[in-house]
Formats: sequence, C-alpha cells, structure tokens
Amino acid sequence: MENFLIYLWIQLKRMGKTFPSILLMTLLLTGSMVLLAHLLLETDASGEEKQKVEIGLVGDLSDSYLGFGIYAIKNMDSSRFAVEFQPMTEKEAIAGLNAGELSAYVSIPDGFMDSIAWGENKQITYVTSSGSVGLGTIIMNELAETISSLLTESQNAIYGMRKFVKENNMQDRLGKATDDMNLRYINFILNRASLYELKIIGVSNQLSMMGYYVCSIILFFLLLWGINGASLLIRKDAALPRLLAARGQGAACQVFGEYLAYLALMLASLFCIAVILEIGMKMTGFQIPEWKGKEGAVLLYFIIRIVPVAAMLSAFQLWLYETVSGMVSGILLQFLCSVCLGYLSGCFYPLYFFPESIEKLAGVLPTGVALKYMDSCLISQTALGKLAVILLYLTFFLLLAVLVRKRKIGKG
Amino acid sequence: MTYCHIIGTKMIEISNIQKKYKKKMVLQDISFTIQEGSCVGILGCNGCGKSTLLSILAGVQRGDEGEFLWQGKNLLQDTKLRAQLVGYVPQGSPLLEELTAWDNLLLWYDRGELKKELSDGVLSMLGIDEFIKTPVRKMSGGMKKRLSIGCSVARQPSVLLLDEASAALDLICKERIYNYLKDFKAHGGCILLTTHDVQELELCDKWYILKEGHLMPYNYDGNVHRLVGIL
Repeated sequence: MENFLIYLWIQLKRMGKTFPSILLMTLLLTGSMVLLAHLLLETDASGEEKQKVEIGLVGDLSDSYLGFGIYAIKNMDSSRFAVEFQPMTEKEAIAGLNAGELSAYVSIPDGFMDSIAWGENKQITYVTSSGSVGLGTIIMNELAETISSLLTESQNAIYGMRKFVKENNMQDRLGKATDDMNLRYINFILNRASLYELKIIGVSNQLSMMGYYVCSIILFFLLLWGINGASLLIRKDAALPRLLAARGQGAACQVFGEYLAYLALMLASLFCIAVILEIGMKMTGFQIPEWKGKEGAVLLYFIIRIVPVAAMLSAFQLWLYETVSGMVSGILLQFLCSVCLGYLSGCFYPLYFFPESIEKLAGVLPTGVALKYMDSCLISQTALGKLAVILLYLTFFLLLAVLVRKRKIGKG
Repeated sequence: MTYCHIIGTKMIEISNIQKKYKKKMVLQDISFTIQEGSCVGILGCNGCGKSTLLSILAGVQRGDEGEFLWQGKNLLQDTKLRAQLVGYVPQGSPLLEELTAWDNLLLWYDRGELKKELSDGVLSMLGIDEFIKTPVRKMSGGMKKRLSIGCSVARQPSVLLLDEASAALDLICKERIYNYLKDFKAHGGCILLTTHDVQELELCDKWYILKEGHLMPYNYDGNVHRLVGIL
C-alpha cells in the first residue's frame, strides 16, 4: 500500500508538471468544439427555417379579390408559419419543383374569379413532383382536397341562400346576406387556431436538439481530450513497469496508480474549462432549454454529474495507450477511435438519422451508453441502469489495461 | 559508506531455472552459484534468453521451474525478501521524463535516505548529485543510465542484476559505472550481469555462455575473437 501511495503521488506530481501545457491544449480543443457546436446549432436553426413548405402560385393573380385572399393567407393566416406562398410564372415553378426548391405549385386558371362569380367551377390545379412523396406531400394533398371541398360547399351554400332569398321575396337583403356569409367564411378560416398543432418531441426522451448537441459535443470533447495523454501514457519500453514489478508492485497496482493520476488531470482540465464556459455563458446569456429557469452554475453541476463518464473514458484511453508503444501510432489510434465511436454514438448526427442496426449498436457501445447517461443528467433524470453499465465498462477497460501491462512486463 | 546488506552465507544458488515460450524452450536447467563479492557474466547472442533469465530472477517474470536460493530461502517465492535483497537494472529507461532526478529517486528512496545517499553514498558515487535538479528529458544518455542504476540500487541490495547496463554509453560514464560496480563487489555484493561489452567482461570473475537454452561455463581470457566464434 505504501508503495502504491508513493507511486500515485509521483504520478500526480508528473501530471501536475504537465498540467499547464495540457490546459493550453484543452483550451484550443475547447475553442474548436465551441466552433463545432456553433455550426451544428446554426445548421439546426436554419433547418427549422427550411421546414417551411414553399408553394408556388402560378396563373392569373391580377384580380383584386384573389390578391386580397393571397395577402390574407400569406400574412394573416396561421398557415404562414408552415407554408410560404410565392407568386411566379409556371416556367419558374416547374424549374423550382425540379430543383427541389418548391414542394408544389398551384396553378390558378385564367378568369378563375369571374367563373366563380358566374357559378362555374374552374379547377385550381395543384402540381407536385413524383419525387416528393412522403408524409408532407400526403398532408399537402389532403389540405388541397379539404380547401377545394370547403370552397365548393361554401359556394353551394351561397347559391342555396340566393335561391331561398328569391323564393321568399327577400332580394333587398340578398347583398348584405351574401357579404355576411362571405365574411363569416373568411372569419372562420382566418381565425382558426387549431387546424393542426406542430409538436416537436425532440431527439430523445424530452431532450431538445440544443441539449442533445451540448451532450454530444462534451462527449466528443472528452474522447478527443485523450490525445493529450499520449506523452504521459505511452512508454517506449517496459523498464519502469518491470522495475516496479521487481519491487513487488504488480501490474494492477501500477495501472491503478496511473489511472487515478490521469483521471485527476482530465477532471482538473475539464473543471477549468467548465468554469471558463460558465462565465462565458453568463456573459453572453447563452442557454439551452433544459437549463431555463435554473439558477447557479448549471454547467459545472452538469459536469459533476458526468464524472462517471469521464472516469470510464479515461480508463478506455489508458487501455488504448497501453496497447501501443509509438507516439504517432498512439495518437492516431486515439483519434480514430474517438471519431469512430463519436460518429457511431451520435455525436455528429442524432441517432435517428442512422439505420436501426447502428442505433442498436450505439445502445451497447460505451460511448453510446455514456451519451444516453449524459442526456439523462441534463434533464435531471436518474439513470442508475446506465450508470451501472458505465461502471462495468470502466472496470472492464481497467482490467484490459492490467492484462496488457502484465503481458508487457512478462515479455522477454 | 554502505552498499549492501552483508550476506550471511557464502553464495547465492540458482538451480534448475526453466522457461518455455509456447513450444520453444528458452531456458533449460539453468544452474550456477555466485560467491559473495563476485561478479558473474552471462554472454550470448541477441534473443538467447539472457534478459529472460534476469527478469525471472528479479521476479518480473515467472519461470516454469527453478529456485533462487539465499540462506535456504527461495527468493522467487519470497517477494518481500527478494525486493529487499535484489536490485535490478532492466534494459531501457525506467525514468519518468517529465520529472527531475530528485523526483524520480523519490519513487525508490525515502526522503531522508535519499539525502544521505546523495551526500555520501551510492548516488554521490554515481555522480547523480551533479544533476539532481535536472529534468530527465534534458539529461544525456549517460546521466539517464546512472540515474537508472541509482534507482535500482535503492535500499542497498545485496545482489545486483544488470541487463546490459553499459550499452551505448560514453567512456567517462562507463568508467563511473565500473568504479561503482567494483566498489559494490568489494563490499561483498554479488553481481549477475549480461553484457556485450569487453570492459564489463573484465569485471567478472566467472563467465557463462547461454546458447539454445543451455548455460555453459566459459573461461574468458581476453580473446574476443575466440568468444565470438563460440557465440
């Protein structure tokens, strides 16, 4: 035990000596991660804008009634948040449809308004491309059908009312009654508040997209941070482990001492960065939906909750470095593992973008479990099951590291 | 100046050490003795099993069979006693590059003991006091080797196992290490070394050649050509 404590102390001293340079590297890494986060969140925000369905309006739009209708739909109707109507020529509309810039276009025939006035029913043509089949298209078709029926039936109601007024000699009230009915229709259509409700359920279990990316970027940061450990954990030869073994300090004792010191270095760097980011968040007012209404150092509190993830990843990194003897191969291995695990666990894209098999794989990968645990921590949920899996992985990686060390000591 | 515990018996006995890697017998029935205050040299070409033999005796590796006896006690089984009696200088550098010589030595010495050794002991003889505050990464190869030996001889061992300790060192550094080894012998210590160095061979009192897993006694007479022919 005494030997272990001395070894741990020396390793901590070693980590302490390298801390300033590691912190500098960590700051650089944080800078790039913040940039990545900004890009991801920016893309996501613009993605929401792009969710608006663009519909082209083609044909005779010169009639003042039609102009008023289009103006009302574009500016007053609640559909303006989901649908963007753009007047254009048919040629432009076809080009837009082919380029995927338009979801569909509506072709209004010449003399449409006059035909309505004369009781004819000239059809509005709704044109969409065969490539745009999907839920959106089905809903659009259904909406077009609904509006078409609504217009026809309302027109029928107007004719019915005219007939009724004529038969009952009430012509003097016809104009006012027609206006009242039209206004009621307009009022009914424009004031509808709950034709549909758009509910975004988030990426996983009540987590907002922003919250998801915060978790995934912190996980990817922890993975990449492992590159800092290259100079500390890669050994050219096994002379020190052998000498320690000769003194009676076995592989497990050595690995555990190194692991604790390395973990301390990782946590020290992580907390320094968390303090800086916390101050930055307070200054810029940056917040994610999960932290809204919460007081105090929310990021620091979150980092404390994810210490088990840092502990598991540092064990994983220690094991990886234990398997190599060259600096270049060590850094490459660490980088490739970080990128692959990050990708497969959903650090770059939410998992629902991936095939089911990858989603299943992510569910058992250590980083996948870690990300889910972090998600739970962010929304203040207890995740004892995931924590247990993380601790199992931690133990497993340490055992692997001990086995590799034993093999190194015993070699030649 | 204290170098080692005085060994009560006249010799160390190594008997029937065996080691097999997969199907290859690396060491077969390795048996020999080392007299008190003497040095034994193991010679052999690269990969013949010299380092394996030393690491088994140092307790780093397990042999399949055999004994390393001191006063009737098998040091291969008594870890505590072995750690106290046997000093081992492995190939390579057991040093932590980021730390100074002082910090590296603290891993092996108590603080008080370290100060004593630096002022009037093994470490001062190895000249480590001259670069005690220097970080290892700024040291020359010779300094590193002296420091490695300094780490290995902590707690005054009686038996020193040296695995090519003077490889790739300059003459001045070699001279320093030989002087130390001579002194170690003179104070009753036992040395078992593997080497390719002629000067180190001359330090030995007995020589063995390890070939195809077998240990054969050899009488070194300074004729290197004859030795090369046998190896």
